[in-house]
Amino acid sequence: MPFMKGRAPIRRTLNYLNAGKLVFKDKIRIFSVGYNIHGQNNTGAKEFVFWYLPQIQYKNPDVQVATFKNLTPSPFIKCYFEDGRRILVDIDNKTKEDILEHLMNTVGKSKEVLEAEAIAAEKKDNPANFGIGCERPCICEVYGQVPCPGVVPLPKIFRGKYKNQTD
Amino acid sequence: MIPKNLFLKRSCPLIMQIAETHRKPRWLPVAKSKIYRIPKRPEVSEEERLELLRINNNYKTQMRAIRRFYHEEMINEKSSLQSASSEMSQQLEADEWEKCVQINEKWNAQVAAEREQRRKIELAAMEDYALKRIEAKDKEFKGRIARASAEIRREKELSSTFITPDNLEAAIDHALANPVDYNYAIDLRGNIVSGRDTPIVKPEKKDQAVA
Repeated sequence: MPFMKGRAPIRRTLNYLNAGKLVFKDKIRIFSVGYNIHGQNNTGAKEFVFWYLPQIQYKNPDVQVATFKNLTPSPFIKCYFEDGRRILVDIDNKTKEDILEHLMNTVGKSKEVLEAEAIAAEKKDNPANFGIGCERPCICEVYGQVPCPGVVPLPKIFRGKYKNQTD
Repeated sequence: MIPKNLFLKRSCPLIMQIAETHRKPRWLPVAKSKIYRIPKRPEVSEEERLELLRINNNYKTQMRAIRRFYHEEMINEKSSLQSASSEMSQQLEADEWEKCVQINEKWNAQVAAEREQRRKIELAAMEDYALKRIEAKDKEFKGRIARASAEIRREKELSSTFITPDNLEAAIDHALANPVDYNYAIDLRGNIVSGRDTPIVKPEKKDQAVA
């Protein structure tokens, strides 16, 4: 899509996509929305699909997001879990904010869990870390640091054998 | 301590240093002075050998036992921790699922109730609309029938003056007795000037030319 073309192109900006609040639990595999485009009771569902579905898909890349347009008598959301369970949410005559709030309470991860996960991810991805399992196995790879003595011998003035010589 | 910047900035040229070993390289042969030297084998008495063997065996056995003990302990601990944590997480997850389902059922019930109410109102509105339409249609039909009946009445009244085969002769006689002359003119005041007997005065041609 070209930049700033089409309806509400803000939906495709990275800031908007990152601002999505709904992150599903790990066990959810499919998220489907059924809605019609006519009728006052479908307005919320329609707007939900228009405004929040891009964010949901961006925040949950491993979840399949499906929409059923004009195929249902009344709007609904259905989530499928990986062990076959499913949860049906009736979204008849509800605003998009209400729907999002309810989904966050039921199928979304709670705020505490999200925060904990963010901290864990940050710790793991800290670019200053080095060692096994990190981006760089040794600090000697950084420019300006002392190279490993196995690769380049340590200058004698750094070594205790010569630095602390008594005679 | 020597500042690190000294080396980084290369202000001091003595940093080039080669890694050096303090022995003869592997590929050189035995030194001339050592070429016929045969090292003496160590002499260990039988008693000492047995004693060393015993101590060594004891040491190895004990170390193996300790190692095995700690290893098993670690495995036990790990498995117990894992099972406990998995059970805990499963329990937690089940609780959470229960909670979510409850919230969702509550929400669905509320939505269903609201929808029922809305449907009732919509149904009433639809009934009202239909009734109004029926009434309007009825009114229109009634008006049409009234208009048609009025027309019929008027025609019936008029039919008394129609000429039929019965009164044809009388009508002819009446017509012959009262001839109507339509050849007349009307002036601005509405006076009828019948024209069949009035002579036509033709205007003079000269006057017309002058005028």
